Amino acid sequence: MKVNLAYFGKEAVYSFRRNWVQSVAAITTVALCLVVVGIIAITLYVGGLMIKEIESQVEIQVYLADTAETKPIQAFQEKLVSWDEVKEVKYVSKQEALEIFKKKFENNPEVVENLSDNPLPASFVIMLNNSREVEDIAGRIKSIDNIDELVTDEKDIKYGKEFVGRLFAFTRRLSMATSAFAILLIFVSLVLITNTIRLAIFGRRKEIGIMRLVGASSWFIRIPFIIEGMIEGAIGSGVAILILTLLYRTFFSKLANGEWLSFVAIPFDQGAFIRLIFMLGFGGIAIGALGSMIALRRFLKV
Amino acid sequence: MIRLKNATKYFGPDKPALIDISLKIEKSEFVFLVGPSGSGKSTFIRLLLREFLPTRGEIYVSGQDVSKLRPWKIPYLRRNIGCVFQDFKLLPNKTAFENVAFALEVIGRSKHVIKSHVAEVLNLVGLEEKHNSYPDELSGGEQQRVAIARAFANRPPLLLADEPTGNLDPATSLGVMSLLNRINRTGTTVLIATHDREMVDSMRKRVIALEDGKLVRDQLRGVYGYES
Repeated sequence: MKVNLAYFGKEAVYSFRRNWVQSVAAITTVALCLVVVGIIAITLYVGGLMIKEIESQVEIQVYLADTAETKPIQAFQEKLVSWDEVKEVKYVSKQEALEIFKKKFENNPEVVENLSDNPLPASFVIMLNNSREVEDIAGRIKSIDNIDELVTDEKDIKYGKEFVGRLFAFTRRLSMATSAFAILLIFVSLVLITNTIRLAIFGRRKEIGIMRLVGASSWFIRIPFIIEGMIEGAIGSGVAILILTLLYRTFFSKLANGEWLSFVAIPFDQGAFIRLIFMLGFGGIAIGALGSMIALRRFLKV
Repeated sequence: MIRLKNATKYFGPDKPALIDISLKIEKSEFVFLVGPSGSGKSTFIRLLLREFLPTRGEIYVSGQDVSKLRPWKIPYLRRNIGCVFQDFKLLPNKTAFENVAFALEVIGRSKHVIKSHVAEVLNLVGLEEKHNSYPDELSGGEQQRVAIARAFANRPPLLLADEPTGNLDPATSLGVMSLLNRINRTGTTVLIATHDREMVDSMRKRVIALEDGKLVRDQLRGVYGYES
């Protein structure tokens, strides 16, 4: 069967113009929903980057006892390096530790002057590929056979347990809550599109009845409504993209440049934003098509 | 053309509409389906159109069991059945020409075919001069003739009419009936549900009478019956 594209287009536009109040309402909701979804996506993305940054700073410190001998220290270092989970092992000697300490208290030289000897221990700083494994690795270090030759106390193996646990719990909960909110909003816009299309169908039920009577195929009847839904979804996402671009220009880009909050240097890039725009555009059209399908499903049951 | 075998339709556990109907209508027959309101005439027609399934029994249209038809094939069944109703079912915002063309357009006929078919069929029903009129500018009889033109535009082998003269005065009815008769003579099977006694009596065609959902009479060259 030859598909008459001009017919489908004409019908969709006609129906759209007839129910324009409803259509505008649906477009507005789709736009608002996608703006919020977009903001959530950006926030999650930026938050994710920030968290990754913080996570990458999670490290294990092993403070060596002054009595530890060079040989077992070297063996220990080699062992750490051989573990797959370990990204980097840095040795900080007693001398280096003192230098760092001195630098920290540059403004209070009396603190340093009062040091008789060098009380600071040498240490290993261990960075991991995946900071979520920090607890595991710390445990493994503690259970190394001759670890008591290197450290005086288990407490000398540090990794900020409390902080790490809380950070992971927080990020998990944050992304879950915002995702749930985004899903809810998408559902709301779906319902509104469905309603709009249902009204459009209702306004043309006589025509549809005749179409079915003379043997128009279900898809032939459906396609104009689906096109209408997709147009509404596309316009809605277009509006959303416009608003988000303005927000991005005036707000996020300044954040990213560190113009506003210099301490959070967010590496927010243009590429991610463009990907987001494509996702929202596709999402809006998909919502429109899906909404129409839902609206038509019950109606076209023969 | 049409064959029913123990066709039964219930709209509820104790609401029978058609009970155990078995009959056969041959190709190019002209048949009246008569009976008082609520006797099951419309249910009969709607079963043939596969608007719903029979509760029991088999219904064959053009050799095909419609109750076993896959849903997506229903439109193709309907393309072979022209349909006319008491209330015409014309679209008010389309002219006579557009109304007929619409039926061909939505089954994907090409522009060229539509143009020639519509002109031809409007000619057949005698409305070639009113092809640009909207339904509300046409009389009842003219509107029904547009509806018949639409039903016949695709040249279906079967034409069903549910009370086609129900809204028309006797003189106009006669014109519509003779038009349907003319269509029948082109080889199209015509089935008309009606309670227009005079019409049935004057045409002397096969009459199938229903009463309370039961087949009570099937008579060649029959009359409406029920002398009162």
